Amino acid sequence: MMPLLLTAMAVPLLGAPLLAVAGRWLGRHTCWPALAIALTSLACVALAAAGQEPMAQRTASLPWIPALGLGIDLLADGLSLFFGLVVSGMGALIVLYAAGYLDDHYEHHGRFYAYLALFMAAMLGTVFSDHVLLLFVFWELTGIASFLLIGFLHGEAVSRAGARMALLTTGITGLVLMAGLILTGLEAGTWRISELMAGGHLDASSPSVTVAFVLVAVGAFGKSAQFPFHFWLPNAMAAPTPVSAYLHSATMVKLGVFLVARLFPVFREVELWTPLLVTAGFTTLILGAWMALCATDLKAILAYSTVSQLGFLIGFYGIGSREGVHYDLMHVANHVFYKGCLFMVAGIIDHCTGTRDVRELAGLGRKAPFLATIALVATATMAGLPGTIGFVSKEYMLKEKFDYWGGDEFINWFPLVAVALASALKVAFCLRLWLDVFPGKMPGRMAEEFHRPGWLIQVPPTILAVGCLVFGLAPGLMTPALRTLSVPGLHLPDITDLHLWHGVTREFVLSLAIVASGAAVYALMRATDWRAAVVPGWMRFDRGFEAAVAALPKVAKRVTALLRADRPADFLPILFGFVVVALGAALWQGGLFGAFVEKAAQAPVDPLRAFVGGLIVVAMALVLALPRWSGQLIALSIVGFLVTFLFVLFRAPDLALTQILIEAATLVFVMLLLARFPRSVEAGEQRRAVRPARRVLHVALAAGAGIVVTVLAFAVVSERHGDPAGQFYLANSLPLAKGTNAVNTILVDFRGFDTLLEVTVLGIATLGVLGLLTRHRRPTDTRGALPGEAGMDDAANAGTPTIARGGEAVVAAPSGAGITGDRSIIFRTVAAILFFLINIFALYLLWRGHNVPGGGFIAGVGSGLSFILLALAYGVERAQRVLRADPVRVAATGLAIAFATAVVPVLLGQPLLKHWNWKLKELPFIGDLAVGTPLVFDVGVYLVVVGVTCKLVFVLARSVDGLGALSGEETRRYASSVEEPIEGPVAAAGETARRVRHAD
Amino acid sequence: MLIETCILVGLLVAVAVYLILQPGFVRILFGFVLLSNAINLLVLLASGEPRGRKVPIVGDAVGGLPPVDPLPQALVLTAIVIGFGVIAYLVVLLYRTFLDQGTADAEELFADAPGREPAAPKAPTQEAGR
Repeated sequence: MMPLLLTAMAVPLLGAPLLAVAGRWLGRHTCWPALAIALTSLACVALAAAGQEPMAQRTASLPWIPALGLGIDLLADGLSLFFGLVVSGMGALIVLYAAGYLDDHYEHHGRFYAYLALFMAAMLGTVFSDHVLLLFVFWELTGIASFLLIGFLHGEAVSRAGARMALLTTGITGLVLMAGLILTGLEAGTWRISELMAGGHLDASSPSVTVAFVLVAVGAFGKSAQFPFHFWLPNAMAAPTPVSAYLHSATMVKLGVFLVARLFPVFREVELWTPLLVTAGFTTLILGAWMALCATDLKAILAYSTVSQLGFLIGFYGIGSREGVHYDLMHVANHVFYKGCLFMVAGIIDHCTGTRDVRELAGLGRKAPFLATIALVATATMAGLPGTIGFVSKEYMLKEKFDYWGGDEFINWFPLVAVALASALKVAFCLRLWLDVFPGKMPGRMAEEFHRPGWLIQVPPTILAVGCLVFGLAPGLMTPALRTLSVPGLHLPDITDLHLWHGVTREFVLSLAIVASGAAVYALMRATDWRAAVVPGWMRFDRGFEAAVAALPKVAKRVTALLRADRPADFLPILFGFVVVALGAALWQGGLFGAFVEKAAQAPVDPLRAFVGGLIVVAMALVLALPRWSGQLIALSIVGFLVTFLFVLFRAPDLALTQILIEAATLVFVMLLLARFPRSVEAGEQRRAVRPARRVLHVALAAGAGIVVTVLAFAVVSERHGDPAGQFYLANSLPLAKGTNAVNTILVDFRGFDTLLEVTVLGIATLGVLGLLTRHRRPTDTRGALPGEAGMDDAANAGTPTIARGGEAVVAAPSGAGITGDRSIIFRTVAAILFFLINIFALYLLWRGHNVPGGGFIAGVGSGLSFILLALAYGVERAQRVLRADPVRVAATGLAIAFATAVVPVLLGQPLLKHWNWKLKELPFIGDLAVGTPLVFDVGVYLVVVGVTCKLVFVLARSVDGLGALSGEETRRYASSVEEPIEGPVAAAGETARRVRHAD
Repeated sequence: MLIETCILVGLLVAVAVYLILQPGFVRILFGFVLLSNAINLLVLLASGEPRGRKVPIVGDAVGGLPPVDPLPQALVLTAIVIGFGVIAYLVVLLYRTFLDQGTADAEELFADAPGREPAAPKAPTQEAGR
């Protein structure tokens, strides 16, 4: 059973991306592979159902995340198999229907069928789940697929609004459902649905179980569009009709019903079960029927009647006796047959005439008699006329109601009244649906535009209509299936043979009255020109919802405007002030200020560190005091290099190596920036006078921050943890990670996952830089502009660097020359030799990093610096040519390698980032050599750092040299997608959609 | 007790905060570089007094001394590299802002947008968000 169900789910799931790709070549013919997929699923589910025994439950599970108790747990019983058959069977019919419906006027056929397949997989997953959380995951996936399908024609505002409304409503209620399911699982102590159904896990009288039930019910109401969430379903009709027929009548909206049925044995004992489900369900039943009568769009009528029918089904479970119910699956099947058929017919009418308005339509019967016949059968089924499955369903429903007569008066009478009233209204709009559309004479203009429906598109509704008739005339055919598909706890075992005729019973009399009054309502409405058929404004929940959604950003904007401070001078003091006060208060609380004052005086001072620290302070003072940027930058670099020395004193050779290389790279980088700012800016900065009050504030904040951090640092060093975490890494570096350099083994092995994400951050920073340098030039801005596309001309050969175009002094480099302007022959020669030396050294660091100071980060910065050196000596173009590859690609390759080392062990059944090491003994010249996957990971890190460093410097250096920040090819590669106006394709899609509307 | 390094870290932070509060882009950038140095040192301080200890390379007997705690070093190492990425991004951001706005001064940037008025017409992010 397990392989069958897994195949049924996996085929559409894996087929979806293939369909999306295949759509490019196959166009509208993508339907055929999609049909094959749907039929495969159908066959699998049918085979699984063939082996089903009455009242049997078969479960199977596949471990997924055993540590969390999560598994792919599947449950095959009558309910899930029935819904599985509906989903896959309707899926196949819908794909066939879509083959005729989605003609060449539509685009993106591949995507459409891919979404359908994804939806089908998600639905099958939901119904076959035996795990509460797995069910929820699939449940939400159906919502996402529904969102994508409703918004398929996203060029139209209606589609977008409908899709958003559906997603938000089902999504929010879905979250409520999740809370309910989790609460249920925690209360019961099991997550398996089959175990929950067996009973004995929950105490129905406990309040938390009641809460769990209400939360779950809200989730079910949201999905099944029950009052007060009923408004999203009619708006979802913006989807192409095959989607409406499939998701929004036959399958997805039935999930709420499914869930109620699924959890019937679990929650039936809860006190609130009957009142809640009966009230919500039967209220929806009446409301939906009334709104369907008021609607004029064919699809809207059908949508509201779906809402109504779903209410009926939910309410039906509400009045079910504690022991179980009868024939519920027949009621569901009844709705699937006629509603699916009617939606398909509505789509065909839309296709043939270009309208779905019942007030405009007329006389279709003469033009398309076959279609009229199908529609007649389905409409009669909906109205519950004898000879159709609808009649059988209604009779048994009324019988069930009459049989259930106990409990309070409200529960006794409300459902009966609701069913009678709604059924009468249903008869009325059924009459309208058929009589206003098919008989009579077609208006002239419509007759001219009318074109006959193809035979293919009429096959699926015909199949459904035949089903309506066959099971209506011979309901006994369904009895064996209902017996086989019975579920313990949900169904009563005594299923008698279904019969068409029971004699003149109360049900029959009531049915007659319903039909008669329905006809009367129709006649009355028609006579008064449907003036009474108006939905009152307060009932339009969808408008209220839209208004609320639209108001949200406005409120957010207003709140932001209240709280925001644009100028850094306004908000930075607040920020720093908060940190100082919060941190200071915490330290004060801990008595750390006192401890500092007490101990600091006697604390021993290391003379060497004090000396280096003193030098750093002097350099810092120079940063503050020197008038020119160049001087300040040099002082800043001195600080950095002296910190390197401190790292050495702290016995951190890896850090010292990294710091010294990074410091050099930072120096070059900041220098490039300063080279871009004209001297006038520097002069302006010196002239600027800060108000004294501000200056006092700044000094006070700086002093406060300094003091607080000093005390914090002192607290850190004076109260060391007795057993620092580092001891573990020291002890296990060699035995576990097979490397002697503990810092490196932490980076690549113990905490390799952190490193992986850190290099990813580096990659993101680079992309951010590229984004900043490739964005559109501001058209209105005349003050400055990005250097234009200077093309491929080589600055190294240009003699003097080109100064960027773009107008004023702003873009002129201060020295009158770019960084590559003045190159001595000595510098160039030395740089060439150094380039090789640095790289050899870097590779050595990379190779040996596991055991002696070094590693991917350090080697990467080293190699990156060598290219920077080359760029300084020979120009950026030349350095880029030496690197050959695009630095971004180098970085991406590195990232891919690093991720591959992380993921490959998982595929081999090992934990993430599992490393292997081998020792090669007595190699010639080298001796013993340890190699392993950590080195591969480190190579990935190395490549990322090289690529990132090079790219960052190259783009800025090019820009400073007056070249375009990106070469012509790079601009095409990165910028084209950015600069393409995003409205373009959307507008085109809207155009297509409009053309579809007025097709032929 | 590392008192001198603690005071050094405090001084670095003080100067960094002072610079970041200045309006000039370049000063802000310098402040940021200093701040990142200061915080790196602060984290490294957690590895404790290094005297009487050796580098964190195991199996390398230097007079039988115990090695220092390697964990803060590993943290700081990545922090240095990430810090470089952030500084590089900041540099390009300032450069881009300068090109778009023609000023390298945070005060001037909002000079014509006093008080609570959103500085929308000049903010470069406006365009990116469209």
